[in-house]
Amino acid sequence: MPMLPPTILLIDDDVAWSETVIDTLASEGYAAEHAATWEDGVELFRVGGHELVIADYDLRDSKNGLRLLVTLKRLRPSTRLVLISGALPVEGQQLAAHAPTVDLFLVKRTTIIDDLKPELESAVERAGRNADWTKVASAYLAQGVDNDQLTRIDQELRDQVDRG
Amino acid sequence: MMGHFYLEPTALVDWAVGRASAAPAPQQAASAGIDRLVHDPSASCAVAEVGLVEVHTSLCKYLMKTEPDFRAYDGPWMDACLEDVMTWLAAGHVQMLPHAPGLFETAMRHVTAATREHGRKFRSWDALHLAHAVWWARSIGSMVTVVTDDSAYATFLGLYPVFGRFVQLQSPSTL
Repeated sequence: MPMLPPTILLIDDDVAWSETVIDTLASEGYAAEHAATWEDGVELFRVGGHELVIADYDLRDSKNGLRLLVTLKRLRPSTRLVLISGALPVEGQQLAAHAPTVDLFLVKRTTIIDDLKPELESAVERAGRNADWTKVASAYLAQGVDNDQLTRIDQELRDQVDRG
Repeated sequence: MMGHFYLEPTALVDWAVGRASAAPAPQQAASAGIDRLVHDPSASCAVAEVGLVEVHTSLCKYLMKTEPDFRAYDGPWMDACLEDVMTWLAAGHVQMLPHAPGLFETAMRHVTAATREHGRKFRSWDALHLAHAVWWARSIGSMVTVVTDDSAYATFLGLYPVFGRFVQLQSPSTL
């Protein structure tokens, strides 16, 4: 009987940090994989199986960090999206936490896996069973995004990162 | 023939059709190729439940045909084909893949993406088989060969090359 495929996707251009996170996840029994660019992240996500995406806001190649999440959400509304950043001040962190498509915002730090524990456990649980269509349908219906609001928040976050 | 092989239904139907003495040469070649493959201990072969349903449906279509060219595709032919498939499964020559969680959601996404992003058609059953094969490949961390004669897969992989990291295609007649 095959094991579960990777259920967690980390999108972050900090390769060394990402490798540490992936290794730590693996040592704790979580199947995760890494994409270093926006494009790779979307392509890898496309093949399926990811219940949880952890994406860095400040990807070098991404002009619009939140757009990445919108694209992922459109591809699979039921996947949980965690936005991370080590560059946002407290005000920006609060803004990011309430941005459309963001299910959870976390500060990027070495202990992030502890912060992610509930999300990780939930992802593994979802990956091992058939889809809960009540939740899938609810996520589908909730995926509509106010583009003006998204652009406004994204610009504000970008400004805060640039100022920082 | 080392590797992992996902037996897509069109390949299995070719195999079944090719067993009849008057079968066209490509199906006969497919039949011989798949027989070799499933009995090769270095090959790990798998099917999906939805694939078996499709095979049953296709064999029944042959059974219903009344034209003289299809006389060989009768009840005993169908029984023999299904008996062989069940023998492969019972002996472990072919494994039945578990129903992958999220399979249908993933397949719907493939169908929609092909049309909305590229204006191309990708049928639901084909999307399900691709999702199954990719799921298997990612689960075992190894490339899976989808044995098929259906050109829809090559078209889809052309649109989305990322799938080529996990699956490759091979015609049953070249096995």
